[in-house]
Amino acid sequence: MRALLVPEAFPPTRGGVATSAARIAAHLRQAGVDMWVVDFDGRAEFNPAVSVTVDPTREGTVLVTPFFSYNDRADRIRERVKAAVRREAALQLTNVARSLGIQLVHSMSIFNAGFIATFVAGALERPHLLGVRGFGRHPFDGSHAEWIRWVLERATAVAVVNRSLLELLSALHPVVAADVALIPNSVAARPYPGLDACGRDAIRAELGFSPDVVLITLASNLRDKRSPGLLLRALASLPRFPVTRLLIWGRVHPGEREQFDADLVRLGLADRVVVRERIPQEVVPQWLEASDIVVMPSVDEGMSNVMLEAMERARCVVASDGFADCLRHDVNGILVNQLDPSALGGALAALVGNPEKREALGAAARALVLAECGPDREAGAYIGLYERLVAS
Amino acid sequence: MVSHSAVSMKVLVFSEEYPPERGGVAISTHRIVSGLHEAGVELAVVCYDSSSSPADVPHVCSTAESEGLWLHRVGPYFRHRAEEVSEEEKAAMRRNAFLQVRRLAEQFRPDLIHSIYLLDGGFLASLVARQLGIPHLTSARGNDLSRSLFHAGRFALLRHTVESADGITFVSEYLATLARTAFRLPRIAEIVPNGVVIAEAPHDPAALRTVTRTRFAIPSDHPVIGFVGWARPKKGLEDLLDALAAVQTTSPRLLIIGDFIDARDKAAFAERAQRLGLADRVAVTGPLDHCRVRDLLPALDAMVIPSWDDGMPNALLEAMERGLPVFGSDVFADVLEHGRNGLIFERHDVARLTLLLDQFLQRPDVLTAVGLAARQTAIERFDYRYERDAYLRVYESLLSGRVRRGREETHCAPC
Repeated sequence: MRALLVPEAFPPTRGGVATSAARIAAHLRQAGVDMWVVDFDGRAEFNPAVSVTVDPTREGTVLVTPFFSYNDRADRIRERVKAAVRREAALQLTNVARSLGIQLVHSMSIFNAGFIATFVAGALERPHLLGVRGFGRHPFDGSHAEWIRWVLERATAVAVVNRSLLELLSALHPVVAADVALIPNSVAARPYPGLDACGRDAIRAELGFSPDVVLITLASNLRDKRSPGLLLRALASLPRFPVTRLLIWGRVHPGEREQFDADLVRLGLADRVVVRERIPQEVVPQWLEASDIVVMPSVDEGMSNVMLEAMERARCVVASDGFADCLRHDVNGILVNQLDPSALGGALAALVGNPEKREALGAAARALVLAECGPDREAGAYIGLYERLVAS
Repeated sequence: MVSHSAVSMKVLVFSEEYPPERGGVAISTHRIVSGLHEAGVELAVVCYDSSSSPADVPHVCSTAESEGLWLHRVGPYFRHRAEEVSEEEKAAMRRNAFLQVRRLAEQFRPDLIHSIYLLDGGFLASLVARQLGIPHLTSARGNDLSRSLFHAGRFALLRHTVESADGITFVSEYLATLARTAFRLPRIAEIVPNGVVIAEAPHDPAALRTVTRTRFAIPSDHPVIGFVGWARPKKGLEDLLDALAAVQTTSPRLLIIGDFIDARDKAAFAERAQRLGLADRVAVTGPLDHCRVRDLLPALDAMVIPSWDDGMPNALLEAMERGLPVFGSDVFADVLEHGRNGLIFERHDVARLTLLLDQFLQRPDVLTAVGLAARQTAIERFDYRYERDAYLRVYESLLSGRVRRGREETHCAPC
C-alpha cells in the first residue's frame, strides 16, 4: 500500500505533530507500508513562489518549500498571500502524489495540512484519513469555523488522538463524530532508569538549581492555550519549603512574552522560573528524568507526546482533565480542572512535600505506558484503518 | 448563432466591476451585457461605486444607459481597500449593499439574477435571489474561486455562494475542476468561455507592426513579446523573466502592457529584472484603457501568458483574434493546442518556456502560421455571440426549472 502522510510539521521542524508524524511514518514503514511524507518547510526564507518536489536527500519525503506555517511569520504574512501559497501547494502536491501512485492520503492537523490534503485527495479521488490532533481556537474563529466543517465533512474517515477531542467533535459535528476512530499517540519504551544521581545533579547545576530543589517542568512552547498565567499563579501559591523551581522548556510566544514577564515580576517569581527555548531532542529523556513533576495545564491539547515520554520516564505528571484518557487521577498521575489555578496550586502543593507519592504515581505511569501505549499498537490501528479505506 | 427572437426576460446582472473600471471582470461584464441587450434582454446592471470611500453614506447612483439597460452603482464598498477595512466594517458594508440591491431588485422585478464574480457579488446576489424566490446564476471568473477557496476569511462565503446557487458557470475547465474538487455543484454547472468581438483581420500585419512600433517608439531590431493585464504574482512573470534571461538565439524585449496592482510586486519584479541583467529589455506601460491596449498589440511578435493560476484572460482571446501567436501555460490548455494555434508549456516550467522562445522567436514563418490558426480558433469558438447564446440557454434552463418547481409547489400547496 502506498500512502501520503501530510502532517502540519515534520522534523527537523520541532513540536508534537512533527514528532508524531516521524514516529507514525517510521513504524508504518517498518510494517511494510510505502509511506511518503510531506514536509511543509517553514525553515527556508519565505517567498510566495512555493515549489513541491520529491526531496532527493531524504527517503520518501516530498518537500513543500518555502511554507509559512509553524513559526511566527505566519502572523506577518497577509492572508491573500497565504491563500496563493496554499493553492500552489495543493495543485503541485496533487501532481506529485499522482505521479507517485498514492492510494490514500492521511493528514495530521486540520490547518493547513488537512485542508490541503482534502483538496489533494479529492482531486485524486482517493480516500482521505483526517487525523485531528487538536482543534485549537479554530472552531471559535469566524473565519476558520466553516473550513473546519468542510474538511471534516469531506474526509473519508476521521481519527482523533483522545476522548476530549471526540467530545468536542460531537458538539461541533455530531454526524462526523458518530464514526470516528480513536487512535492515541504512543511512546517507545527505553531502559529505566536512564540517569544516575550525578547526571541528575549535573542537569540541575546547568540550570543554576541546587540538587535538593523540587523541579517542576513544563515541557512545551508557551502559547495562550497552555495558560501560562494560570501556571505562574499556581506556582506563586506554593509554600516556601521545600524550595520549588519551574523549568519552562520551550518558547514563550512573542504575543505572550510581555504578559509573561509582567506576571513573573508581579508574582515575585523572577528567580524561581527558568526558560530554556531549545533542548536537543536526544537529551529529552534525561531532562525529563531530572524533573520531579511534569506539569501540563493546557486547555486544549490532543495527546501530548512529552507527557507520554514523562510517564515513560516514570515521572509524576500533573495535567488538566483534558488528558483523562491516559492519566487516572491519583492512580498514575494527578488531574486538575482546566483553567483553575487554585486546583493546580493545591495539587502541586500536595506533591512537592511528598516524594513517596510522586515516586508511586510515576511508577504507575510507566507501567501504564509500557502496557498500553506502545508504537506497535498505534501503527496497527492505522494500518487497519488504511486497509479498510483503500478496500472500500 | 442561436436565434433568440422570443427573448423576453428581465435579468439583474450583479458584477464586481464595470467600466470605466479596468480589468477582466469589467471588460467581460460589459461584453456580456452588451450581447444580452442586443438579444433583447431587459437588464439592470448592479456594480459597486468604485469612486466611493468606505466613510461615505450608503447610496445608489442609477443611470439609464439605453432603453432596457439600467446601471446602478452601489456604495460605499471596500473592494479596492480590502486590506484597510476591518472585518466588522466589511460585514456592515456587505449588509448595506445587500439591502440596497434587494430594493433595486424588488423595483426591477427580474426573472433571474446573474452574478459575475463569486465574491462578494455572488454571495449578496444569492441572498437577494433567495428572498425574491427567483433563480440565481453565478459565474466564476478566476481569483474569486481559485484564491478564495484557499483563503480563510472568504471560504465560508464562497461555499455558501457556490452551493446555494441554482446554476454556476466557469470560464475555463481549470476553474470547473477546482470547484468540482471542493464543492457540491448546482444541477446546472457549465463552462461558458469568454468571448471576443471579431473584427476584420489586419491587411498587412508587417506594415502595421512597423507603424505601431514607430508610433510607440518601440525599437524594431529585436523580437518584442508582450504581457497584457494586471501583473500579479500568479501571472508567472518571474518565470518569464528567468526564461527571457536564458534565451540564447535572440535578445527579446518584454513589454508589459498594463501595470502592477501592488507596489511591492513591482519592486520585486524590477529587482529581479535588474539582477538578471534585463533592466533595459523590459518596459511597463502603466495602466491603459482597453482600446489603447488593442492599438498596441500589432507591435508585438508574440504574447506570453505564463500564469500559474488564471481564469480566461480577455487578453488571450484578443491576441488570438488579432492573429498574434501566444505562448501560454497549460492553464489555458482548453484554448491553446500546442504547435497549432499556440505554444504551450507546463506552468512553472521555465526551461520549457525558454526552449520555446529560443526555438520560435527566430521563426517568423511559424509564428505567423500559429497566429493565423489562433485567429481561426477565435472566430470558430470564441465569437462573443457564442458566449451570449450560451448564457441565454442557461437562463432558459433555469427559468424552465423554476416553472417546474412552481407547478410542483402548486400541486402540494392545497394539502
